[in-house]
Amino acid sequence: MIPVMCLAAEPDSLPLRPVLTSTMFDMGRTGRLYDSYLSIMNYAGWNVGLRHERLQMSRRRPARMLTRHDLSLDYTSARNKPGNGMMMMGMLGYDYGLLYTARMPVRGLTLYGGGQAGTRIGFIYNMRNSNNPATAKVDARLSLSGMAVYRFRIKRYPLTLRYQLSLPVAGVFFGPEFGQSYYEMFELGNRAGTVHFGSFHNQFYMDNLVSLDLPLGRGALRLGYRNSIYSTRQDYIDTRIYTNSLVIGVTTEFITWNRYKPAVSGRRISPVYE
Amino acid sequence: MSRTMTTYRFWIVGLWLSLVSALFSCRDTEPFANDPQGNFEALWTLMNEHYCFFEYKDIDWNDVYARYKPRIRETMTNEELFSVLAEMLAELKDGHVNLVSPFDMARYWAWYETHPTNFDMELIDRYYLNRPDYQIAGGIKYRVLQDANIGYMYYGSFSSAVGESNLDYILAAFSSCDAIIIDVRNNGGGSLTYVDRIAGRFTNEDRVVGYIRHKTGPGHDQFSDYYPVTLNTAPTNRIHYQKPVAVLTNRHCFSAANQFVSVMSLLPNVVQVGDTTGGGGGLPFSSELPNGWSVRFSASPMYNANKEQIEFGIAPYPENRADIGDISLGRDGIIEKAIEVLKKKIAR
Repeated sequence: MIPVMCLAAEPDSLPLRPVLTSTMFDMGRTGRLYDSYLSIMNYAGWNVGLRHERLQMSRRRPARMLTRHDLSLDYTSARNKPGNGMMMMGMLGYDYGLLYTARMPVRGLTLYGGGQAGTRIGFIYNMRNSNNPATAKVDARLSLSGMAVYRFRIKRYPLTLRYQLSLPVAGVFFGPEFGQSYYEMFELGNRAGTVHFGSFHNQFYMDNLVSLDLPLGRGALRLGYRNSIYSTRQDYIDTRIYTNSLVIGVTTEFITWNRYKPAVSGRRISPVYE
Repeated sequence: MSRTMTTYRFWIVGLWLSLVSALFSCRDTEPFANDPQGNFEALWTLMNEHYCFFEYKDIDWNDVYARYKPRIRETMTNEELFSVLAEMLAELKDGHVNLVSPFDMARYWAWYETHPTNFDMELIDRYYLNRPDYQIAGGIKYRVLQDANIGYMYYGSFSSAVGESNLDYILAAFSSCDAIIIDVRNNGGGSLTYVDRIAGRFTNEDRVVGYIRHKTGPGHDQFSDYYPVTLNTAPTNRIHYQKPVAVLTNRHCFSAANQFVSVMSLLPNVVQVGDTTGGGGGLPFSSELPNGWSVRFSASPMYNANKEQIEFGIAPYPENRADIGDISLGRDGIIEKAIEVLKKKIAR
C-alpha cells in the first residue's frame, strides 16, 4: 500500500510495524430503540456514527499478535410510531484489543481472534417524560473479538474484504432498579445495587462489520455495512438497540518514527495488507 | 485432516453463526397493538406493573380489568376510548395520574375541586402585597406586611426556579422581621430541588425529613427498603432564618408543595396554618400508549419522617386550621390566622 522504506537490513534489528488507521463514518437506521424504563413502545430513527480504528502488529512476542484501538461515537434520533414522541441516544466507546493472527490455507485469507477490554458511556433521553426522562448507559466489558481478512485482485486491482466481530462476554454495567428514579440515585444518593455484573444471562451485545477496502492514492477507500446489537435485561428493565449502517471511510497505513528505537529492518509486518 | 484445516473450519462456522444470530435477533415485534384493545391492555399493564399505591389504597386492579375490558370495542372512536381509559384511571384517585391525548387530558382533581378554595390571589395582591409595591425574586412575591413586622412571601409553583441569591435577597429584606409567612397555597408542585433549597434556610443542622421507596419489580408489593431523605442546611455563607415561620396551605398544595409542607412542619420554629394539603406523595414517572397518548403515574412513594404516607395530604394542628373567610371584607382569614399564631409565638 505504501512505499517501503529502503534501509539497510540488520539481522538483529526491529521489524517495521506499520500502523493501519481507519476513520469511518456510519450512517444508517436504528430500527429499534427500546428502553422499558422510558417507554413501553419501540422507537426507530436514523443513526450517525464516527469511528477511529488503529491496528498495529504488537512489539511483544509472539510476533503474530495484533493490537487494536477502537474509538467510537454514536448518535441516534428516533421517534415512536405515532410520531409524537422523540428519543435521542448518544454513546461514546473505547476498546483495546489483542488479536492472534492465523494465515489460512486459502490464499489471501487471514483470520484474527482474541480479546478486547473496553468501556462505553452514553445516554438515552426521552423528550416527553417527567421524572424518568433519561437513562445512563455506562459499562466496562471484556469481549471476544474476531476478524477475517481476504485479499484478492480483480484484474490487477487489489481489494481487501474484511469481516469483523466483537462480542462482549463479561463486564459490569450501570442500571437503576425497576422503579428507581434518578432523583433518588443522584440527588438523595441511593446508588446501592445499581452496578451489575453483566454476561450472557442479562446482556447481549454484538457488533458486526463487513467492509471492502479499495486502494485510493496512498490509502484506501472503505465501504461497508455495520450491524450493531445492544440488549440488556436487568431488574425487569429491558433495553434493546438494533442499528444497521452503511459505512464509508478512509484507511491509511504509515510508519511511526521513534528516534530512540529506530526500526531499521527492511522486514515489514503489516496488520492487514500483507 | 490437518490441524490448520480444522482451525479454518472452526472460524468459518463461528463467523456464519454470528451473522445468522445477528439477523434473527433483530426480529422483535411491538409489545402492544395500536388498536382499542391493545391500548387498553398497554395502559392496564403499565399501571399494574408500575403504579405504587395499589396496596395502600386497597385497589383491586384485576377487578378493574374485569369491569372495564368489556367496554372496549374495536369500532370505538378515539374519544370513546379515551373516556373509558380516563374513567379507569380515576379509580386510582391520584392527582399524579394523567392520560394526555391531543384533544384532552384525563385527570383526577377531586382532592381540591370538591373542597373550599381558601385562596384569592387578587385579595393577596391588593391587601397584603399592596400591589404594586412588592418585589419578585425567583418567582416569589414578597414584602413586609404593613400592619405587622412580619415578612410575607408567596410562592405559587415549585416549577419556578429559585436561586440561592434570590433567597438571600428575600431573607435579607426580612432580616429585621419578627416572623415570616410562606404562602404556598395553590402551589401545584414542581421540582423537589427547590423544596430543599428553600427549607434548608430554616434549619441549622442536617436532618432526616422523610423516606422514599421505589418498586423493585412488577408485583404490587415489590418495594425497596426505606431510604432516608435528608434536608441539608444551606451553606454557612447563605442567610438562615431561625425566627418563627408560618406555612400557609390549602387543598391545592400538591406534590412538591405537599413535600415542602411535610419537611417544613418538622422544623421547630415552623407551623402549618390553613387547610389540609392536597397530597400527591408519589414521585411520578411517564410512559406512553401505542397510539402515542402519554401517561403519567405515581411510581415511587415518599413518606414523612415517621414513615407515614403523605399521599392524601398533611393536616395542620386543629388549633391552626383556618379558612379564608369573607373576602369582601378585604381580609384573608388564613393570613390573619397566621399573623395571630406568629404573634403568640413571638410573645413567648
